Amino acid sequence: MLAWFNSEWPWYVAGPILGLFVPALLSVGNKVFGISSSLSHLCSAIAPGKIEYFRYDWRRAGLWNLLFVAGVLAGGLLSAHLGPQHPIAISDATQILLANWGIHDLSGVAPGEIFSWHALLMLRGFASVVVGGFLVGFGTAYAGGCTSGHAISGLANLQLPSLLAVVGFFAGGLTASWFLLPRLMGGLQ
Amino acid sequence: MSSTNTQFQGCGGEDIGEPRSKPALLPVFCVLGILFGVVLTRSEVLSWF
Repeated sequence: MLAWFNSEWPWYVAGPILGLFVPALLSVGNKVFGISSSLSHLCSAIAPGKIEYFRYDWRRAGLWNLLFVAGVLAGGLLSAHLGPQHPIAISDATQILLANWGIHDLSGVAPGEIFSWHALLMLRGFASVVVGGFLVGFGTAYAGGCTSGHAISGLANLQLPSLLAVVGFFAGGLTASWFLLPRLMGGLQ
Repeated sequence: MSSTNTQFQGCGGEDIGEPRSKPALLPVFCVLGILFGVVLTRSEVLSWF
């Protein structure tokens, strides 16, 4: 049992289990699984109250969501510290590509040369974290949900907008990976 | 995004139908979140590079 917990769970095991959280949340409290809404509830909780968009009863609308997301963070930390430390598997070709972009520290779950406080002072770090973060937030608000809400909950509810959003997620991801990222990383060192 | 601002429902983070957010259920949502975080961290998705 412990050996199984310590191993990496394949997609065909972890995927269905993650999907089961949709009916679990529905059956427990009529809640729709989603992550990004918590950011809106967080802003509503700490905003001074002058922003109309965030002026609603966040306790009633989103306290459960905030607790769920806090649980996700706690569960991730718990699992990462109790379980074995698997090195991130990165192919040799990708490592060479990253080295050409000046990215050599592959010890964490994200390259420190881009995702760190120090990197924020550099153009590519700022573009990746601040500009990228803004675009993710804008896209999530504009689309009415993020990858978890649309791809897990929305598709399970057979929502056409969610299907269109998921197609857009993959199209945007592929476009960024093949065209935007090489220019961003290669040109902004 | 939130239940007050979304244009269509069923895409995450909101109530469907009559909310049943009793205070006693709040720890349950936290526990479900912890389980979700554990499964997500244990999955091989972190090696998909």
